[in-house]
Amino acid sequence: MKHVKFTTLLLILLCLPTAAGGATEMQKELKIHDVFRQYWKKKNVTMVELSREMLDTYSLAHYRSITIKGYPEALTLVRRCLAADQEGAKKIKEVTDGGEVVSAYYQLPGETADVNRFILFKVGAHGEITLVYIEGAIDGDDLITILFTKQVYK
Amino acid sequence: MNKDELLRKYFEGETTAEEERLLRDYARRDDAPASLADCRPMFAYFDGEISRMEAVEPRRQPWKRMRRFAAAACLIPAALAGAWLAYRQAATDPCLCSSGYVVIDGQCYADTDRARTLALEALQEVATPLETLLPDGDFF
Repeated sequence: MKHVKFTTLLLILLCLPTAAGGATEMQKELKIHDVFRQYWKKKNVTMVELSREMLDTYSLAHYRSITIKGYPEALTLVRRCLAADQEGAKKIKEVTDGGEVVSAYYQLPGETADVNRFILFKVGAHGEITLVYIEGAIDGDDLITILFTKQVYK
Repeated sequence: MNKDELLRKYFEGETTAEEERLLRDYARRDDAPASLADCRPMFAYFDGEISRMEAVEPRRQPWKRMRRFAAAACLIPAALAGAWLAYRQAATDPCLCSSGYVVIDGQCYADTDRARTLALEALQEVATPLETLLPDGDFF
């Protein structure tokens, strides 16, 4: 019995990092997370992250946004990541200017059928980049409500 | 080295294991000098303890003795892997313990109200062009 307990404990301990690694990889499968990783701690950059506890009322599991100012090279990276992430998207809406995407909306499938992931992007008049990632058990209509309801999160 | 000298070394704690074994052998003999014969009960006691320990030792199966080493060998990489994953996660998510945070100019603030406000600002920023360009609301 003691041996069984020991073996069980050992297996759990060995599986934990693998499981944690798997969960982490799930969150990072979109290329846009490279933008967050590369720019979150730079000057003139604001990153916001809200977890499930704060978003549960809206059936959202994850919110993450980044605003980047003064890094023109970041725009190239963002556009490259968006081009990669839009493959497999359920819905794509893009606004282009001179052939370049200046604002975009992508709805992508989530881990389960009821979960969607959304990427929202905009380049401002002075080159400032806003990139938003939302994940949750919501559809496009629900997101419209969130986007255009100013009392959101209260 | 004579037996008395060896015995003196023994009590001084200077004898080797081989010398101690020799002393015990001498003490067992019938012709052992009085000084060694007096130590016979003590050596007999030690011999008994040695025999007892040798009898107990083989009962421990090798895999049982290896178990601790195997556990350590497994747990150390597991702990290192866990630490590495935590570090990697921390490099991406700076305020792991907070349900809402904001990072401004590399400085992390676990301020949920501020995070809410800035989240809303970012949402409104990305929502505005879509609303303007597609006023019928059918943009999703």
